[in-house]
Amino acid sequence: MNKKLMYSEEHLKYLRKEKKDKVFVLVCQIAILVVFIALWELLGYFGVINTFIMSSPSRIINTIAELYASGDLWYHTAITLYETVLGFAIATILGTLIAILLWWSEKLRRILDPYIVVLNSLPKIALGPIVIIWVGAGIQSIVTICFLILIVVTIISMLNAFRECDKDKILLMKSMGANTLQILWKLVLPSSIPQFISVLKINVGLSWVGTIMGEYLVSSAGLGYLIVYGSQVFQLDLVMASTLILCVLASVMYLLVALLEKRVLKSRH
Amino acid sequence: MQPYLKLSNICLNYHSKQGETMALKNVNIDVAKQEFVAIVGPSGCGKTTILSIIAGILKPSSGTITLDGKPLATNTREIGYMFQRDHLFGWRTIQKNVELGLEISKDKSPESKQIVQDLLKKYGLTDFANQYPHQLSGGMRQRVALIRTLVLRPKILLLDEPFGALDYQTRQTVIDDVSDIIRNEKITSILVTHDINEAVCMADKIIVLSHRPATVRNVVMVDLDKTVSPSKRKKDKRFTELLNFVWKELDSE
Repeated sequence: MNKKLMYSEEHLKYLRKEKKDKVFVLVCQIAILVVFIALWELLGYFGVINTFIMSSPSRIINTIAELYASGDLWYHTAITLYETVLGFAIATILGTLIAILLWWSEKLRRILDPYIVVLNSLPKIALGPIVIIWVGAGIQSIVTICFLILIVVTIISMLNAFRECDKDKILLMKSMGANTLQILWKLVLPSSIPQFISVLKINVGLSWVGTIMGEYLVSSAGLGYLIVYGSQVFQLDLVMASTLILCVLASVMYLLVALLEKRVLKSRH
Repeated sequence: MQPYLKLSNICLNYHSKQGETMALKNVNIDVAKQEFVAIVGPSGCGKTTILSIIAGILKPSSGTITLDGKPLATNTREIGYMFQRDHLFGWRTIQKNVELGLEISKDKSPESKQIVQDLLKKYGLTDFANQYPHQLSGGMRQRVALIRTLVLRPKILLLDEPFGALDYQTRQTVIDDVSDIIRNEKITSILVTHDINEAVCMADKIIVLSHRPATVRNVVMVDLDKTVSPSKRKKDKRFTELLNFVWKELDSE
């Protein structure tokens, strides 16, 4: 049966308006992109802006096509993606585990509190040179820098989430004879899932920052490397193309987390 | 006759950096088997503290508690606890929520499973078993919270302002509902409340506490017809007399 038959005229009007608004927003979003690209291309074409410095959409596409043809596209993208995902995964998992440990032992948390505060306020990129010397130049130091940028934020956010868990719910579990492991497993972890997902979202963004910063400092391959290399040889097309690929990758990774969020939160209700 | 639950000379001191506060001073409470006792007192006098001590969550500074003649063991299934908010876990179905206590005590016996099914059926929750808490009304959720504690067959049920979060209209219905279930299941219960109405219409016995440090001021026996629902008891002339009496007791400080 058609559901529409059951709705009143007023409700149909409301639905039509909702749909109209949605279409309007989408059209505007696409329009902004199209106008931006077209304007960039045209201004370059008519010589208003210098395409040698500003590049242009067509030159970016050509550069990407060249990179694809030479096989460099996959090579550099794969390396950056590998570093980012590795740094992201290690930091998120280890950070959550450390947060669990600090939640478990109030004493340990109090002892380590000042160190966490200091580490949190330190700009982690300052540790870059030390990292390179200690773990060696290469992928391992990039992953380490990415890891360092994420780990403290992860620990602090997850610990806050655990500590925000309703005291009465903990009391309820204790009155049923639950031990700490059961409280953690059946109450604290499941109730922190929404915060865990927002930590994932933050970490997705930060992991790209970490990796690209790492690649700026020390690398012989990767999108960050292409950007630095492109700017040094004054090949702005390469810089722009790499940035565009980066933009797409970061968005896809964020969308994946958003998708996960939608699924998890749906099954919780 | 030996009372079922006996609190003798319970004292409790709170320690903080600012100093030591005496919360409870020589509290003596006797509860008979299957009795419904209500504890009333001025706000902040330590009513909830008494429940925490009975539940074994707080250790008294001095004094003894015995259940059925034996010292009370902590962290067991013997004590059920019901809070102001239902505290159902949003990520668990009603059935899973009700089974929480069994999971904690790793009780997988078919008898316990059967108790869950029976209680769900008896109190009209079978149809909701696979739904999530947010799909139920406030009153229903409080009923689920009660069933969750009853599944463990507690010897004592502690109720800490269990109707405080409900709106006025729902409250009376839920009071009748909870009272009915408790009388039905013959559970010894202790209710803490600041609402004297609630105490008089539900309890067999009311314990009036003093200001901090709390001690028992008076014990009022409620001689209302226990075979009818609390809302019907409220219509009794005696109800108003008792209400006024308890009011005066609380007020006379």
